[in-house]
Amino acid sequence: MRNFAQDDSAWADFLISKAALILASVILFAGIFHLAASFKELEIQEQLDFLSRDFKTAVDMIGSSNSGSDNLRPDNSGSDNSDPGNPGSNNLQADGYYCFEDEEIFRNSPFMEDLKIKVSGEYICLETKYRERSFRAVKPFTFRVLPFNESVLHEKLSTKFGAQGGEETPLTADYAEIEAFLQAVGTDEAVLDPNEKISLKKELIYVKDEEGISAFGCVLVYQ
Amino acid sequence: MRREFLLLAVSLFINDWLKVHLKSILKNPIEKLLPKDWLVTVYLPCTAIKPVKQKCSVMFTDERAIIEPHADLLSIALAVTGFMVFAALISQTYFGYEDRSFALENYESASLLAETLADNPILKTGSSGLLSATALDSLSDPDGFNERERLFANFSGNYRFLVEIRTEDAQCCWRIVPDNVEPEAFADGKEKVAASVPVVIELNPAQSVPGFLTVVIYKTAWM
Repeated sequence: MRNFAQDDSAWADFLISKAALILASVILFAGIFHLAASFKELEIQEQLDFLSRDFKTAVDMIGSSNSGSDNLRPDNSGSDNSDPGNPGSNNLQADGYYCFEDEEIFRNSPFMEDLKIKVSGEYICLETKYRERSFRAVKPFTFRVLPFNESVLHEKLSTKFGAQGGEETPLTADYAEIEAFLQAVGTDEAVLDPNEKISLKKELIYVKDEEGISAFGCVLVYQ
Repeated sequence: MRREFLLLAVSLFINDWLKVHLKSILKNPIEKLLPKDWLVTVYLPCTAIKPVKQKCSVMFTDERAIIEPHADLLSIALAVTGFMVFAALISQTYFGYEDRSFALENYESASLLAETLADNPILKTGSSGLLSATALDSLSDPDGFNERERLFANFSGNYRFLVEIRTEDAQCCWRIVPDNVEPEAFADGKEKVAASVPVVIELNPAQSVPGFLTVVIYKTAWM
């Protein structure tokens, strides 16, 4: 004990200072690597947010358009421009498509092969996994959206109200009842394939009441 | 006048007293010169500078290398401090963005809603395409439930928004609030974002005035 007290070589001083140095270095490098990993996670979240916002904007642009000439991206396939049950309403519809593969951010993203797209009447939800961690981006739609095509819509309206809701066959129920019905049928999520085109189409639903025939639009999102 | 002479005399007396006793104050302890329980602050500029200069010169000429073994600790402490400041700045920027993200993300939707509503035929007169004061009166009237239902039928219930239309001279103002939203959703203290578009309002067949249509979106729990 006396030797220990009289030892002037300062080895304990050396060990403590070096241990503190190693500890501080470990904490510093751990912080830097954690920050770098957080930046990567933030980047993925930002990419998902951008894609969901872009899709929402595309849907909202279709919803705000008043005629077929306002198409965001005219569909050259021409497959969905005719409505056999309602030929007179074509000039009041707007349609287009959205394809995630057209987006450079999607093509360059690490989640290109593993992106799940869910669309309901209220929102779009993009989900992916990166390094065992889930990421999700949800954006609400501004306009009324339904996640199925016009034939399904007409079928559902016929079943519920006895009319397809076209210009020739307007619905006779009041607005609140129709809106509640559309909100209910729009709650089911549709899972879409990001590698295929997503059709966006504005469909007008005609309603007849004591003041005459009026219409309101909803955007159909389907593949 | 008398009071001023008295003050001048007292200040001259204190000045002379300090000149006489300053040397003794500097040489003797302050407690001996003052009565008991007195507390004063005395600045001694001449005696304070000299030791600091001496210490600095001693420190620079000291070759015992007392700090030398701990230089790495000092440098790592500086690096950690710099890293923490950097991380704090990054997080502050991120949280600042988060605070303003509601306005940044929803301004586009508010603008789109304003443009869409300005083109809505329910707000317009039949032939001229201008906004009709009569239609605005009925829409903002408490009894105009059906008109408001038709106007808001195109939009999803995701956004809590109201519409304000006012003339440029602020003489006339109409406020259209949806009926299916509780009034607390539009409280003044809530965070909101607004977008306006210029419109022309037909007050009567002989008078049309310029004005603005404003859409105000209020923040909700899911936005």
